[in-house]
Amino acid sequence: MNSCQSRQEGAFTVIAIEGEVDLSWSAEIRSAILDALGSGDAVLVELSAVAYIDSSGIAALVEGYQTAKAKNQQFGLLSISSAVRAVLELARLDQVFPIHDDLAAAG
Amino acid sequence: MSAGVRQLACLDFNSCSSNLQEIRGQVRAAAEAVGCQEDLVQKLVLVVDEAIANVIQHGYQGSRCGDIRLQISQHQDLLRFELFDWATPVDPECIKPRDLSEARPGGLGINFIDSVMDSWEFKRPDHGEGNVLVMDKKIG
Repeated sequence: MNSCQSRQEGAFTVIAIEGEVDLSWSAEIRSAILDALGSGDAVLVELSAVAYIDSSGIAALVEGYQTAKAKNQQFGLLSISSAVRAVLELARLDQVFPIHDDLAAAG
Repeated sequence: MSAGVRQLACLDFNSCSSNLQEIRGQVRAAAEAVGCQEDLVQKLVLVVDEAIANVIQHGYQGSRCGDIRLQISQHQDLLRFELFDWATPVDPECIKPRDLSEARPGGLGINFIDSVMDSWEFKRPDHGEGNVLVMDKKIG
């Protein structure tokens, strides 16, 4: 089941993604990330329940990262699945995003 | 189909992105049927998904009315994916992997295809219309 849910965790908006992220719905994730950043929040994208992600999903994450960086906002990935890690490595983006094992590590 | 060639799948579908999940399942099944390890299965699923997404987005400009055919076959120690579309023919010279040292959204699909597959090539289909992307991966 694919889903994208936002919640507040202290100072962070956590956007929890679940399922298989592909072209059919990656725009929804992009919107959720940009909306959260537009509110001025520090944003973490939780990816532990993502079984698959394609380049359109990765593009949404990259755009979030760049948008946050331009506005000096905190943006990171939280608890990434092995599937997400594999694609980030293939795209050579595994060293670009701040990646946190859990919320405490995100500070 | 010639001797020594085993057809694993021939899938006809339209250019609606909601078809991608089903197609990924078929690619997975074909890769597992020829004994690919899980790591390679995941990469092949990703690469074929990316190729189809490119057809949907760029070939058919997001229209859901385009026809797509995916053929998967085993040629001894090689797994071949042939992706047919009936969109405007591409100029292969314009489709190249980009520099990944710059982190920016977009354009990753061809890089994934290039890094995972042993060879890939755009050809003109025998029927003359559209494109066929032929991607080969050694599995032996």
